[in-house]
Amino acid sequence: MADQQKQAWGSRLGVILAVAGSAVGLGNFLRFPGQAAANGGGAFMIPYFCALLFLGIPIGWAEWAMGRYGGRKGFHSAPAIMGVVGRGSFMRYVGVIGVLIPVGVYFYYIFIESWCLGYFWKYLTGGIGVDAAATMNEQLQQSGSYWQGFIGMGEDGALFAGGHGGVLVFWLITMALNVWFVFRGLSKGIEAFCKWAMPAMAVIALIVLARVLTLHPNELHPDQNVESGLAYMWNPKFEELWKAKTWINAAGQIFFSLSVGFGVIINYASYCKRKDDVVLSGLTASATNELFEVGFGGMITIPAAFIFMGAVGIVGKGTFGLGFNTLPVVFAQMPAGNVIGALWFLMLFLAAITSSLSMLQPTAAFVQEALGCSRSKAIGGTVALALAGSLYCLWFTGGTIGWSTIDDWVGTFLIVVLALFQIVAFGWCFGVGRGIDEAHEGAQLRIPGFMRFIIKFVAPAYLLVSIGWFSVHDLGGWWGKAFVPGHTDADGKVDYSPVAGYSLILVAVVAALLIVITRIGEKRWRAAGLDLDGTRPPDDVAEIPGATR
Amino acid sequence: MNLAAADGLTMSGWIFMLLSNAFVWILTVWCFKRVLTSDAPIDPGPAAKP
Repeated sequence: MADQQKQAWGSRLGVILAVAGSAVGLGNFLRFPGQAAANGGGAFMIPYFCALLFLGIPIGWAEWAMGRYGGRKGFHSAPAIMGVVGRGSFMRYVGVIGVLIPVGVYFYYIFIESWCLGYFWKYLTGGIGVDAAATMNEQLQQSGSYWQGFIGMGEDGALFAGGHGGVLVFWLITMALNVWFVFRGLSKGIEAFCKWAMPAMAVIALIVLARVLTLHPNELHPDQNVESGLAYMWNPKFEELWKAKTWINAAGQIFFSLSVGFGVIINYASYCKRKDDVVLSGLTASATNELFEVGFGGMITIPAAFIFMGAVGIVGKGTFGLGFNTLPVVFAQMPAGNVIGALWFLMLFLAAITSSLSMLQPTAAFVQEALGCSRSKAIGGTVALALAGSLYCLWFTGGTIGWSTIDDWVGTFLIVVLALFQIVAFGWCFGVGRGIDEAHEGAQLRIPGFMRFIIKFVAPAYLLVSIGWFSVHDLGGWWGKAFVPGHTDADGKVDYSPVAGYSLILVAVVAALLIVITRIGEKRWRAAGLDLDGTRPPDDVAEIPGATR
Repeated sequence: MNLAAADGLTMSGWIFMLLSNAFVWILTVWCFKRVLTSDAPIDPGPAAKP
């Protein structure tokens, strides 16, 4: 009975692959290349690696150390652990964001994940009907029409009207797989799956990379070849380095990519034992993510699109347009394109499911320890909430406004906010010296001394600037889009949509629910005499009554 | 956007591409080598026991 057993990781490799699996997602293959090409090409790697060094890796280490410390105190959720590390109620309630993010992102991520499964199946059974003999613009139109129909972009409720490529069936299968693996538990479910899914993704990525790098030049446009495709991606434009948005975008990409500030690592690390090495594990998980992002994402997507389509297939396409509109045209023209297409979308599906599993787990752990219920009940409650939110996203598909609003506020802005509070809790409330000493327990690697300064000053400052940037450039527009009738975008086009408002109300309702659950948990933990404010010695450990982990 | 792609990779393009790839590959292999050469299962936990 999984309910009766304490949740734990089976091996160090398992937890590393689970964290890496959480980090490696669609953004590695679709978002990163577009960001790099649009923000200076090879020169983008300078702010990108700076953000990795000064933000991603240190905040990741802080999350690993906080998670493991909180786990020793008997806690496994972001609110409880933030309360322990941040020494009080304020950080505990800020920590609610660490549950809101995974569950909120899950609402739409599971839908996007089902596109990948659906496209995998379509390519396995003959493709999506792009006519390779048609002109490039016609092919793009065919691919775009199919994709927009498949995801119900035309109007709200379109997916429930039938005739949309069966995306609802793929969504159900995806949902069932997620629930199954989470229900099986950390070791037998998430870890076991990630231990074969991550190597499988690497093998598939290598096959696709080999195919792309050995493509012949475009017969109609000989200047569109592998080298020019790589040049489009990697030739540096140093003038972009003088623009603030390049540095902000690089930091944003690192956040999206590494799953820091997401509430996941803190939960996963809470199942580690005191002497488990969180420094090397954290660095290895980050490195694995970077390999998939730079080594595969940076070498496959843009070059492949450029060889067959030139810049027309890339410019202004956005993350999902590149993956589901442009690349199907590439596969239509590529020799053995259906096979490569099937492999590509299988890889995206594996990347997505290893990430979505990591979104359900923290929420289930939070419900379980706050309400003191069994794991199966906690998973049941989590799945019910996830189903409700996901059905909302499935209904409000018109113009993708429903779920993209949640993505803007929860999946983009709140990540940076949570990361700021996490690094402040670690560096200032817990104490940077004490925090690094805690991280060094059982570690084979030492965190370099200069990281103290980075964790205490540089990372919070970087995050504050990012939040300021969002506030000035995005938040007003996002708010107006949701609640100000007649609101226009930068081009003067009316972008107000009540659906955006509904999405924000949904997020607010979920946040309120999570706050109430946190309040219940707080009372229970206090009554049980737990160290929920982190005021006792590190080894003062107690079990949470009623919760069978 | 980089519109000089038709001329192929420039010297600096090659450098950025190769250095970035070398960095992520070497870092990943080094990390996994460290992990795998000392991978005593941390504590299998009850879930892994028969």
